[in-house]
Amino acid sequence: MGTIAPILLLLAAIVVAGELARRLHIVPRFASLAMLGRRAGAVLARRGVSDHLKERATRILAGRMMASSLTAGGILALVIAPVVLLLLIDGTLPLGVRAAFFDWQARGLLLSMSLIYVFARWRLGRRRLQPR
Amino acid sequence: MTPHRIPALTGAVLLMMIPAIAQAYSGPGVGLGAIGVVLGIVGSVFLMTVSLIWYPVKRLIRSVRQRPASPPRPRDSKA
Repeated sequence: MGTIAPILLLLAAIVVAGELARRLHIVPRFASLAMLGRRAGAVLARRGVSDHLKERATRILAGRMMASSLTAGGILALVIAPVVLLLLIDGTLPLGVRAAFFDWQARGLLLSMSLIYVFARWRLGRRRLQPR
Repeated sequence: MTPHRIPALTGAVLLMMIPAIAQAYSGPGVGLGAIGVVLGIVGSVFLMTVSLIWYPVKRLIRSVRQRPASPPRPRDSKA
């Protein structure tokens, strides 16, 4: 296999990972996790609230935070799955992907192509978000 | 630490210094995300501990302290 094919495979995996991250709303999920943490801290530090109410609120917030953390972790695993799968497949079926992944020239090319893709996707996404 | 564990530990540390074998690179996004998930799980366990242990124990201690003293025995009251 040539030298460009593994780079294209990696780029395809990175594009799929980026699209998954966009579609699965990974950033808002981490933001809601951080908001839950802030709210829990505020509940614990609040004065003038009975311990009974704090007990109930912390129990509810603990459940929500655990669910949110596990969901965010699952989505993170899903997002990185294409690249990890490609690297795993390369272990059994040598495609040259690992060599490209650890080669600094291929990495530079991947970085520039990924940045171009992200910039183009961001512009396209913004245009789609404009009200008609 | 037992003597036979020292060479094993040294070998493990030396193996970790060879990046071609480790191949455990994770980018900043995935790394920060993993740290966030771990912090969220630890925080939820802490909150659950506070909710299930700290507040009930606090309530119990308060109720024990606020319980009125036992009334004096009749023999003591006669004296």
